[in-house]
Amino acid sequence: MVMTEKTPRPLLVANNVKKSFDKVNALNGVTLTLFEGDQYVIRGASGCGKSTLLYLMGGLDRPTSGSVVVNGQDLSQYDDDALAKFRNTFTGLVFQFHFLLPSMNCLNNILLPARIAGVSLSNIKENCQEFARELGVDHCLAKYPFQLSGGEQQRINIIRALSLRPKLLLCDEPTGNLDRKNGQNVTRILLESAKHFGATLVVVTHDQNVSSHFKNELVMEDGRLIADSRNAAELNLN
Amino acid sequence: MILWPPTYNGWPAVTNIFKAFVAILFQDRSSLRFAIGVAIGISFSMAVILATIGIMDGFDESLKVNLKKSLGDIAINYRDGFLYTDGTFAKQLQKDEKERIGPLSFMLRVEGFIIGKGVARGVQISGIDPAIHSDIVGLNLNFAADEVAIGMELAHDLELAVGDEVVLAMSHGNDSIKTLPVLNNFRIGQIVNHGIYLKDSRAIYLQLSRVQEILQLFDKANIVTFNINSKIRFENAVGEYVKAVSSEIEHIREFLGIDYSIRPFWHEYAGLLEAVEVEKVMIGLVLQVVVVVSMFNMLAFLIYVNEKYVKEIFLLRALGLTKRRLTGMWMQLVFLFWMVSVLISYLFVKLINLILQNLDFFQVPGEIYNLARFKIILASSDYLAVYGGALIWVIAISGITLYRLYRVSLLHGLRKEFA
Repeated sequence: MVMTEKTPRPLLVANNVKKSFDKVNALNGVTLTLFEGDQYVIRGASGCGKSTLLYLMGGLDRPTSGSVVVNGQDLSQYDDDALAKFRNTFTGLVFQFHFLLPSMNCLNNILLPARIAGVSLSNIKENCQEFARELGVDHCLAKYPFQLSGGEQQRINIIRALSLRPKLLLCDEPTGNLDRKNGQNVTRILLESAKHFGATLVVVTHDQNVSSHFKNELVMEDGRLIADSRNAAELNLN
Repeated sequence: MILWPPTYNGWPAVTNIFKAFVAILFQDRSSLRFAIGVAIGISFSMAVILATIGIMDGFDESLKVNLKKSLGDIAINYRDGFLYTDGTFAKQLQKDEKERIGPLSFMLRVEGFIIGKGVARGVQISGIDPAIHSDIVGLNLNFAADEVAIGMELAHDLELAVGDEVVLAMSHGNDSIKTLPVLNNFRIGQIVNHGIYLKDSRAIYLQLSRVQEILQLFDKANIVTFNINSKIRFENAVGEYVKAVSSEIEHIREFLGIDYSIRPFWHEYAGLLEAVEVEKVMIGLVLQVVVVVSMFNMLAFLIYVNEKYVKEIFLLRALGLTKRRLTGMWMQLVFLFWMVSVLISYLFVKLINLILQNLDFFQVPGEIYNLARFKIILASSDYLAVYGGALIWVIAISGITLYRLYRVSLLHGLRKEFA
C-alpha cells in the first residue's frame, strides 16, 4: 500500500504588496503564500505594518500596488460590494477589543454575519449554540456583552467570526486585551477551532508568548517580512 | 458534538439586518429622543405650510360654496335693458341649451333702503320667485307677498326679528328715478344666512311680482340665473364644477353674443379669489424656509447618529455589509422617518382645522374676511407638493451624510475606531 502525502493548496498569495497612507508607507512590498488549513502568526513591533497586511488579506482595503490573490481570485478586481461579500462569507475577523454590539445579546451578536448574509438562521444558531457549549460560554448567549468578562467576550467574538465557516480566520491582537491565562486560553481555542473547521488561521500579535504556539511564524519590521522562523510557509523574503 | 459545518439554504431575506440596524442606531434614549424631536419639528413645519395653504384653499372653496347660495351657477343680464319674463328670453336661451341647463330664475335686483326701528341702511333688493330660486341656490326661501326675507347680519345690526315691520324705499320706476322714492311697508317673514358677511348684511328678498309692481316693470327682470346640468356634484368637487361652469359660460357666450353679460356665481369676488391664489403660492414658497430650518435639524441628527455609531457601522461593514445594502438601509430609515413625519403632520393639520372650526378664539371678523371662520381644505396636489418637497430634502440630506461616511476608507475607519 502506497501512502501519499496530501499536498497543501495555496489559499492566499500576496505579490509585492505595498500600502501607503498619505505619504507614509505602511507596507513596503510583501510577498508571501499561505496554504489552506495552515496556521500562521505574524509578529512584529507596533507600527510595523502587520495589521495593515492582515486587513489587506481580509479584503478590508486594497493595496496601493501589488496584488492579493485568494483562491485564484485577485481581490483588486473586486468592487466594493464583492469585497464585502468576500469578507462576509470567506473570512472571519477577530479584533483586539472583541467589539460586540452593546444593544444586542451575545447570540444576536454572533448571528450578525448570518443576518448580513441573509441566510436562514436556524441551522447556524444551532451550530453556534453547540460551539458555545464547547467553549464554555453557552450560559452567556442570552446575556449582553457588558455582563461578560473579557475572556468570555473574546470567545463570543471567535464564535461570531467562525459562524459562517470562513476559510480564512484573521485575528488582530486577539489576546492584547486579556491577562496571561485568558490569553493562553483564547490562543488555544483559536488554534483548535481553526483546525477543527479547516480554516486557515492568521494571527497578528506583538506577544512572543502567543507566537510560540504557532508552527509558522512570520516576523515583520518596517513594512517588510524579515523572517520566517519555522519556514513552513513558502515565504519569499525581499 | 459540534454540528459543523453549517448548511444553510441560502434563501435571502429570511433574517432582518434592518431591524438590527435600527436597534443599533436607537440603542440609547438620547438618540430616540433626538429623533422624535426632529420628526416633530419636520412634521410641524410641514403642517404649518399645509395649514396656510389649506386656509387659503378653504377660503376659496367656502366663499364659492356660500356664493352659490345667492345665485345659480350662471347669471345673465342684458346690457341694453331688461330681460322679459314672459318666455321670450327663456325660449331663446333654451333653444340651444335645453339639455345643458336647468330651470331659470328671473330676478329684478335694485338698490334701495331698509328702515327698521328708526335706522336706515342701504340694501340690495332682489325680487324672486321663492320656490324656483330656492331650488336653484339651495336656500330655503319661503315668504308671502307682503313679506321680505332679510340677511342675518342685517337683522342682527338693525335688531330685527321675524314678524317685525320694516319699510323699503325704492325708486319708482326706471323713468322717474330722480323723483322721491316710493315707500312700502313689509313684515319680516324670514331671516336667511348666506354665510358671506357682505351678502348677509345687504340682501333682501321680495317676491318678484311685488317688485315689478312697485317699480312698474311688469314682465321684466334684469338678471336670469340657473344651474348647469352636470354629472359633477358641486359639494364633492368644487374645482371640477367651477371648470364645468366656466366651460358652459364660453358656450353660452358664443350664441348670445356681446349684448349679454354672462357671469359665473363667483364673479363678484373673482378679484379677491385671484389674489388669494397668488398669495397662496407666494406664502407657500416663503414658508419653505421653515422646512429648510427643520431639515437642518435632521442633518444635525443624522450627523450625530453617524458620529455616535460610526464604530458599529464600520463593524457591520467589516463583517460584510455591502455599501449598497447600507445605503439601502440608511435610505429606508430616513424614508420611515419621513413617513412618520408625514403622518404626524397630517394629524397636526387635522387638529389645527378642528381648532379653527370650533374654538371661539379663532373666529375671524366677517366684515374683513367675508367668512366667519377659516376652514382648511387641501387638495391631494397640495399634500404632494409639501410632502414631496420634504422627501427631496430628506433624500438630499441622507446623501450628504452617506458621503461623509463613505469618504473614510474602511481600513482607516477600523484602525481609527478600534485602536
